[in-house]
Amino acid sequence: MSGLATLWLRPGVRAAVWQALAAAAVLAALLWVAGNIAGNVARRGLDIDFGFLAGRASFEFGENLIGYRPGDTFLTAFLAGLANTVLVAVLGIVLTTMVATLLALARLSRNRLLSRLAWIWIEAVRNTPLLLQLLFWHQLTIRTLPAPRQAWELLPGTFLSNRGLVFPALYWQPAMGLALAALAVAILAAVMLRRLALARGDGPALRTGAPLLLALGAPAVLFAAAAEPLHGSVPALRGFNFQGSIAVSPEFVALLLALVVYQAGFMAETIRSGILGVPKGQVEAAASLGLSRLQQLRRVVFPQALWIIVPPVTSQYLSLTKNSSLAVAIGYPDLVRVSQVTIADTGRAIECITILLLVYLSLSLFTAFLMNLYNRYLMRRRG
Amino acid sequence: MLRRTALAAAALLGLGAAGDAMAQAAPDQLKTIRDRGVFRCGVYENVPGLSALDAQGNRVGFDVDYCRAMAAAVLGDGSKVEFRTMTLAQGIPALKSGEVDMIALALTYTIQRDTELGLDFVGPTLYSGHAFMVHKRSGATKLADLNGATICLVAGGITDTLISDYFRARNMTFRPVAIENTTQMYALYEEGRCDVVTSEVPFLGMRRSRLRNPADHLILPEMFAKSHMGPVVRDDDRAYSHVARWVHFALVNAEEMGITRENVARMASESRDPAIRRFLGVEGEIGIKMGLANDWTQKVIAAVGNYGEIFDRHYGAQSVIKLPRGLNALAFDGGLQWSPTWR
Repeated sequence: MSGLATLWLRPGVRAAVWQALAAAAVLAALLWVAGNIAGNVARRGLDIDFGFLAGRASFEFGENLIGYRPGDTFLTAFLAGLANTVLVAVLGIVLTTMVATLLALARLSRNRLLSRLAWIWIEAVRNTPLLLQLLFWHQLTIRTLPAPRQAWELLPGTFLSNRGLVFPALYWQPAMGLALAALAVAILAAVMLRRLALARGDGPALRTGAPLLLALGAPAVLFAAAAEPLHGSVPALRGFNFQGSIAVSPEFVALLLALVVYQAGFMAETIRSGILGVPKGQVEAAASLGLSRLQQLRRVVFPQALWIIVPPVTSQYLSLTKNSSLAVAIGYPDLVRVSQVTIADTGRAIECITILLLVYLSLSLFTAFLMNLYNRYLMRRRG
Repeated sequence: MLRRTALAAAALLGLGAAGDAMAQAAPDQLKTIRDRGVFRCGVYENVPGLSALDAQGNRVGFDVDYCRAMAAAVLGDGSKVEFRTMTLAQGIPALKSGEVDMIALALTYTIQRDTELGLDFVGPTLYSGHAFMVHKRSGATKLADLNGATICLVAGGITDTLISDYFRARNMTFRPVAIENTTQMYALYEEGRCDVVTSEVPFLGMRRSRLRNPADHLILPEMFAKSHMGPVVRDDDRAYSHVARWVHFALVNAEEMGITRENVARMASESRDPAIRRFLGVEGEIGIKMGLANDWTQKVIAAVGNYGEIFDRHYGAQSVIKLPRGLNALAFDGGLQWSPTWR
């Protein structure tokens, strides 16, 4: 037998050769793709240039958090779109988590009616396309609500119509900032106070009452002392629509509703599997200690279920964020909408799609990063 | 880390695949189409007048006829068209990537699209302008009444910017509801989500005729922007761009010469007029020098008729809206449609 053949028989050598071949193949593919892109871009005369972002965008965007107006730069428009996307994603994640938890508990409930209803919800939303559900909620919102002239006045100055929910806007004044800062400090102080009270074994008045009073009372007193008379603008029906007010559009509501209802269906099953994954003995032990059903859940089941739940839920948070890009189908002005108008206006399709890809990628990686931190914290606590 | 790498690789491969499709689009577009044996044309899914399905399931419309005319010119058969339905926002990327040979999406002719985006416009095949349609119950009768209105518009076009410019100059505001699918856009308008819907005049007219109560809607008489539209091809193959432009001129020239779908065969065999004989490719070899069959104009007219016939079928006397020719009349009749001399 020759030396080379014996060398090949050694597993370590064989593995190394295969690894090197695989790496070379990947590298070659990447080089080919890069060369191909560069060649095509050059041949088509498509110079990749992000300079257009500094140009003036001249389109009306609708609702946005950062106050973009036509005439601002495309970059501002993209930020406005990003803010709207993030707003829906964050609210969606928070609401979905809450709804999904309740849904999972309902599904596990001994009450047959509750359990069946939750089952219907879960099966219905998991087995129909999200886009369809989105259109459904949008239609429902628009068709249920009246025209602006027949708007429902829910509270004085707050109107609900098919143009959305409008409510009075309060003008900002320094005292509000002061009160917000005070609130943050007071909450911190209240948390420490509670820890102290718990450690000392105080009664409920000191344990719960005092921190609550501190957290809510201090900012209120401060605000009352420093505030000028409140003034704002009340929505008034002028011409076509309500003017001088803050508005939440039906598109936003429909999108949020669709995302939460849909994603909660999936997440509820994940949470249910997490709860069922906790060994039965743990629940029985907790029951034999005399813990109530709620205490069992809070103290014994959930802390252990979280280890199972968190990793798959992370990917559901990601898909919620990505699914929010369907907004464009009903006209909610998110990031995709900005890129659409920008492409139509400047023809910078490759650049805009690249921005979209990078933004959604970063959002996903950032969410995953946070969730991984949380997961690591859970694992460490488990020991 | 592994996932990150995998994501990045997937993204790159995705771009690479798109790049590959571009690479295959050879610069000799006529040959590419002939080798393929079918003309790929990007049209709307359902915009009555431009492109929609009739009761028999055939795709019909003004822009659809331009696709058929191109197929007749290049392949000699107006039925050899593969329609790819797309939205306005998808159109230009699809054309630039070589997915289609032409987009017939009634794109407004703008300097930027022509000079920066690398597109060549055919025509304009339709001269018109952007207008607004409102619910009559709103009481609005002129553009100045529209301050603060919620306006439904097509996402991915230039209407947003046109309205923004018009309103900003007059210190007016509006709230856009941008929808990619035009059918859905008109549905939202009809349900009252928007006070106003906007498009070019002929398309508003077509849509109004299909609303539940056409009489409840008013198309405001003023146009806020001009819109001269046409099919679009890539500008990287001059011979092909010439063909696309001259197909339109052939349609107009046929109307000028009184050649119709019905009489084109007889004209070709019987006419003694040298101008007509040259136009129809009976004499000379204009067609061959363009890289086409010499009788391509006959095929085009046999497939779709002349310009006037196309207009009448979809917007004019034979259509629901009976739009007057107006700017789209022949230059002889005081309109803007003309053809260069066929020599």
